Amino acid sequence: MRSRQLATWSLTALLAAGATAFGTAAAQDAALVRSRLASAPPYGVPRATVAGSGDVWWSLDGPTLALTGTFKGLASAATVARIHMGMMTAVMGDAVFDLNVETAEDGRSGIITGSVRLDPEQVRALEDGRLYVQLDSEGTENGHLQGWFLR
Amino acid sequence: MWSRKNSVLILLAGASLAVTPVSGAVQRGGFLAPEGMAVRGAVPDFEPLDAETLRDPDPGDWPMIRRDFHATSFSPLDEITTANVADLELVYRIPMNEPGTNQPAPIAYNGVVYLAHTGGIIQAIDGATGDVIWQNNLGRNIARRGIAIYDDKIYLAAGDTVRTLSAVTGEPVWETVIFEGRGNSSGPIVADGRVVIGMGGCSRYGQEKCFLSAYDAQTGEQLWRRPTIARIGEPGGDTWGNLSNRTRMGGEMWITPSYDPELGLTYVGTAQAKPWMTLTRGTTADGLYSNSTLAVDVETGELEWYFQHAPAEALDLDVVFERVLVDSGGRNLVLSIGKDGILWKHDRLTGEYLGHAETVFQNVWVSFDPVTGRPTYRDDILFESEGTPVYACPTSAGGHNWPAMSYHPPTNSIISPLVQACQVMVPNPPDLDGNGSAGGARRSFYESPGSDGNLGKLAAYDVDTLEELWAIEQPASFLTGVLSTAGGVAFVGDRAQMFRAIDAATGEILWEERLATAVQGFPASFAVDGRQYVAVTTGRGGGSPWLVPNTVTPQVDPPTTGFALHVYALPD
Repeated sequence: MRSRQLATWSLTALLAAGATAFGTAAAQDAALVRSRLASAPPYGVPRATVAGSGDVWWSLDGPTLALTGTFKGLASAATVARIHMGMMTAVMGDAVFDLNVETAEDGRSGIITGSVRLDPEQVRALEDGRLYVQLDSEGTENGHLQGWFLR
Repeated sequence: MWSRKNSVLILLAGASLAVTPVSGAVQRGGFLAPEGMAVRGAVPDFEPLDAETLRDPDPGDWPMIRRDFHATSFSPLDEITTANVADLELVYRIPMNEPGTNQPAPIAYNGVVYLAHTGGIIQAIDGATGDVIWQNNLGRNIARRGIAIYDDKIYLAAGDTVRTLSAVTGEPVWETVIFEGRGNSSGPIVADGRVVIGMGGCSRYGQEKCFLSAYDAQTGEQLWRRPTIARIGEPGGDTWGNLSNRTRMGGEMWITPSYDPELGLTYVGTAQAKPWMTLTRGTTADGLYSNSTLAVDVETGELEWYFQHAPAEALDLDVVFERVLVDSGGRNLVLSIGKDGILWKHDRLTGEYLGHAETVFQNVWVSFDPVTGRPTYRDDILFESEGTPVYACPTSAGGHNWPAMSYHPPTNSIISPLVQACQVMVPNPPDLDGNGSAGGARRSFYESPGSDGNLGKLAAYDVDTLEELWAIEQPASFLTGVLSTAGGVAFVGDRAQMFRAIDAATGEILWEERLATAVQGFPASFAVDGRQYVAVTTGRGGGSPWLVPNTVTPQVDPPTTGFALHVYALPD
């Protein structure tokens, strides 16, 4: 899903919005887990191209994976966020779900939200640490930040 | 050529390095000092250090890299304890030559510190005052990790030679070319009168292979060579697939060996086969004796046993580092750890596999044979395809790299610097008719999932169980070996310029000081007139231990200058 720009929002407001959006999921399962968003492998691009960081808070309630997160300091404007599935932890794989991205005016900070229903194989993948969030940007179309769902 | 510019650089480095050119110049890389004795003097009351004493050094001495033949990096001195280490204060600081790759391992004998700088400079220093006794500018870079003392000589590697200086005056004694054109980044040990040293730079295709070698400590005569690459028709020669002898390369030994005087065996780690990746190398075969522990008879050079830690290694994750010899649980052990972060335990008499531990997150090995310990790669690592990225953890910085672990006998634990990160590598196509290369791949680095941005890890492991006892994690990578002491303290330095004292039993930080640049090298402890000193160096430079942090933790960015030796003690 393409990002939606929130021109007048400050990062604080974005965080509040993220918390609100996550309210439903959080109410269902208090066992929130934090995953750090860090630079994706900067292969073929300068390290500065993948600058930035963030956090994603997530929970699994039955087959429903709900998450909200924030990011900041990107080197270029965020475009899309997706959940990917790799063959094992830290090995990149294909996208399996789209997430929502809302950004501040410059596109370099914002929030990620989403709630997706996993099939049994995807639940196993989550438990095995093979699912991760990937945020792309205008400057890095195949992975700017990533955060792995690890308990 | 010697130039005025050199003189200025050296003068800027500090009064102890203010030199007068003695002879003609050798200049490589723009920062070698003029060749010859720069400071003339003599160590007073020098007593030769015999082989028997070297087996069990005086508690106040630190006569080789990692202190002893067992490579424990443990000092029996106990004046500095967990209770008083917070009172440590700087006694003196000696500026060191810049720039270059500074990873020194100062040694100490009978109150004198011997220190190798970048630029080919070596000094004898009064350990209590920091006064320079003599200084020799060798005119060629000294192997950056490790010098040794035996009898009345200092032993070191420089360029493609092993050579000796008088420990009393610094004057040259003998010099032997190991193999023309091949150098080494670590120095030798002197095992019962035999100078044992490895070799680097064996990546280009050719008929001559890397070898471990030994030299008569008094004359420099070469006594034996032990090649580390098996040729066709030799034992292990059938482990290279269809590769010709010419294209079987690698197996460098770029870390100083260990030695068991009772068994008469030296233990050395070998690097991976070259080029790095199996696709580029042209074979998925094991490639003996790359990435192995070799137990070699120091008298004959015969191979007593070997264990290959990483058959068909494919990601520049060599297991070349220190072999720490420990006696525990009724066994004589050798402990090893490589870039993959696997901590191995073997019987050092027989080579029997006794266990292993994963010290950092790794996803390259999918299983280990419970009986033999042989690891099995992920299929996509072993069978690479052209243009396809391989994602793997850890990286060429480690797991573990050259900053050596320490064995701390009071807690029967190994304390090891570790690195947590991942890498993506793409192999180049094979070119077996070409010249060969050390690399042959494109790569980049990224944060290890679950590390929370903590690239650096320092952890202690019980020798008997290999259970992790405690760990410290931080963004800055650890760039010194660990020094542990009978006072219960472990010392370690990092890229964020911090030099710390840690409770060896708990990992609690007890004392710290921020220095001028990255704290890098091998800390040592020695005594003069009953007073315990702790020495540590600052410096920069090196391969992957700098490349990986530059990418993964660029916010930890130490200054480009500030190379020095710092010596601490409790208030007098």
